[in-house]
Amino acid sequence: MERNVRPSGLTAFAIINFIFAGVIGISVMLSVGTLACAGSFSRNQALGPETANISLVTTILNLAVMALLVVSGIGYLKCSPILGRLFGSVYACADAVKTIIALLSLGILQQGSTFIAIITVGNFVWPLLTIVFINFVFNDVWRRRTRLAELASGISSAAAAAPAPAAVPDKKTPPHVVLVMMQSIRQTLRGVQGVLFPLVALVICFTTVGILIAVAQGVQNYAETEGGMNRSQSDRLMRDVVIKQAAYGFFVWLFDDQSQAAPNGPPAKTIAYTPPARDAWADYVTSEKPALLSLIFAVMMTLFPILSSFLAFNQISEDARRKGFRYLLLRTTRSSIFFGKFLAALAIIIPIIVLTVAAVAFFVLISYPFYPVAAVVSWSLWAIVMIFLVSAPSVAFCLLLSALINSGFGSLAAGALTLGFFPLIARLLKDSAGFLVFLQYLLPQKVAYFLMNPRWWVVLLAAVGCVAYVAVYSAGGYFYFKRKSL
Amino acid sequence: MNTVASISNVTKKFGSLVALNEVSFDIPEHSVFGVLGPNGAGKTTLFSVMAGFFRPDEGEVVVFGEKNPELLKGRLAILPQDAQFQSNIPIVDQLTYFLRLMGRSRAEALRETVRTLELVGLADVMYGQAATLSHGMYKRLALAQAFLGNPELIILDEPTSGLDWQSATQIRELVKKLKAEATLVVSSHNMEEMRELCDHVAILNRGKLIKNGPVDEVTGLSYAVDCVLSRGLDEAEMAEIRGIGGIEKFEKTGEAAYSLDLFSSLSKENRDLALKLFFRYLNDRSVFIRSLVEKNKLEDEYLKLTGGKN
Repeated sequence: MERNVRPSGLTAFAIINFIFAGVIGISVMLSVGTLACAGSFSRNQALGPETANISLVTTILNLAVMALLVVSGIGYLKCSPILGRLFGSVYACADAVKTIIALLSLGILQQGSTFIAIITVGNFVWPLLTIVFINFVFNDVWRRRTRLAELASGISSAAAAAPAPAAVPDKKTPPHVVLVMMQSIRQTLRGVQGVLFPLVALVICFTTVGILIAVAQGVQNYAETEGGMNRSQSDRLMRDVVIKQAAYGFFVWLFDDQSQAAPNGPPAKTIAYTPPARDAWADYVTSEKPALLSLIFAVMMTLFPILSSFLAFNQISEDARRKGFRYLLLRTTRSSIFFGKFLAALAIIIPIIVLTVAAVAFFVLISYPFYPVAAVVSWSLWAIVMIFLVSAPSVAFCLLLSALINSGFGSLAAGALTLGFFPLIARLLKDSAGFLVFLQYLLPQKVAYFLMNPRWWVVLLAAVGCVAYVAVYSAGGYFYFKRKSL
Repeated sequence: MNTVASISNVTKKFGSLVALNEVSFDIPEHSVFGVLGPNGAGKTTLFSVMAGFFRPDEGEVVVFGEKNPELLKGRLAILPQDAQFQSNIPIVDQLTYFLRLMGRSRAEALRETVRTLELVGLADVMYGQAATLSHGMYKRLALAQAFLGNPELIILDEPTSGLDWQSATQIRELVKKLKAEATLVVSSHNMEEMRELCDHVAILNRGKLIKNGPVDEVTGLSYAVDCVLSRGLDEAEMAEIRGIGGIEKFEKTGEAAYSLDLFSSLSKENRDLALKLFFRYLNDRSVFIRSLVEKNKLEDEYLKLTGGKN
């Protein structure tokens, strides 16, 4: 007897494949229309045949990718190793190759048209997730078919017929918290949530970053076309004036009442003209660090805690509602279950953070070569730590909610609304009544921005502060979970 | 008699509802201990408290000398009534994971999982999802996880409810086999099943323990049979039968049908002797027994104690 072996994450993969195939289908139809127009234009010598050829190649590639998406989607639903795993892998490679060809043929990488490029990074997201998930997360779905055949041939029956082995504790067995973490990672990634979280997180981050870079790119193009500047002049303008000033204004607003005197600056003297006091902190992140990267990382530090709630909301609530912990409680401790699940959520978030920051750093380096490589790399590495430190308390906060609420939806709604809107509401309340300033510190974002501070001890305190938030939230969650009727 | 678990004055309340009210009893080693009671009597709550799913409001549960069930590390297993397995993880991997938590190596855990699934007849669906199983198969899967890793005390909350006759019989046979290796605590609404399986029982009603002890003791060591004879007996013959030592009651229940009750104070040997004399009396008068059915005194006792609810 063969039972359904398809995890819900694989079903989600198939559905998303069909959606993307539909989107590509629409774009192919638009391309065909464009080609037809280009054909009539080229007859009138208005458009060169080279453009039409590029469109033709792109259209053919798109059709191939669309077909692969549909076929592999069907393969996922049927759990077929050929249609699913093989065609899925072929699709991923074909889509990646198509994107690279598009980048090279349009000369995007050379010209540094970053807006299109960063959106194109988004094109890599689905092929990348496809390769990783179908070969590493759902690998058993294809392999198990063979093992079922083994079972049918009686190999497993022979094993079963053997006498019961004596219970010998394995000295190499990892600690329970690690076993629970590994199982929880697997369970999360194989569900719909595990597929949607990386997709949504990466797409939202790349889109937001793309919009930021697009604005900068637009200004630079305007300076070159309307201002008559050459590339080096416009680069200097962007680096020293436009990006720096825009980022400076943003950071002064973001850091708000945390502004301070320049760390090494002389005391202000009364002279005929006093320039407006500069914010040393905002100066640091816009002058001493690549301003554009600082801006992007600050946005990501705001976004990631909210996105984390979409991953961490369900760590306990659904299992508690379904009474699934009853199978675990006599085999391990509540602390192993709680902290194992917490570590699992963190372990899933880390690669997403690394991937996003690496992609952003890569495109900033290509598009804005005026930023020193060492500065971009070091600031990006620190950004990974900063984003992780601000996301970890959010995960702990969601775990706390998840322990309190026996409903996945309730926990998600409470987590997303609190993490998304509370900082804004706290800011508004503080602006209207100064004594409510403490509200901003109930969640970690405000403290986490100190990780960008020029003073090392402030950074250290901020890091300790983030860890303290994690400790407080997780201790609260564990306190409740320890006493919860499961 | 060694005890594996001791329940002392356990009280558990849900709001104003008192689910367990100062319940106390001991569970002897290598016994099949039945917990009887009508719906809402507190059987599942009692099991949940024993397994550490709920904390008792008062009293304590000591299993293998431990007050904290978390420290038992697989020595206690339970078949919970309505718990669900993880979604998206194949059945075989879930059971292997449970065994890994109990300290088994990966290979050993897999081998034992396959063996246990074979035992409950689920080996051919081991790579499927638990959510796609039928109710009966799901129950057998839950039983399989309870048998994993050779636990010393197994709590089975209504193990045969919802199962077809064949599966229920298999489970009963399994429980009988496991009795040599482990202590079992079983709840069921099937009195025949409980009488067949259990050597000790505790009867709960509205959260209170009404009676507990060995089955014979709970049923007052009384023994009764219903019999149908080849012919009807006259009053003189019935009086002579009533005069046989050990027979408490002998009544006509039909044309040639009779009900025989022995004194509850009789030892097993004297009970057998009284029956032997009864059979010899009939044989001497060429009266043959057409059918002889042992009456379920446990059910009678249970119905009497719980006010006729099942």
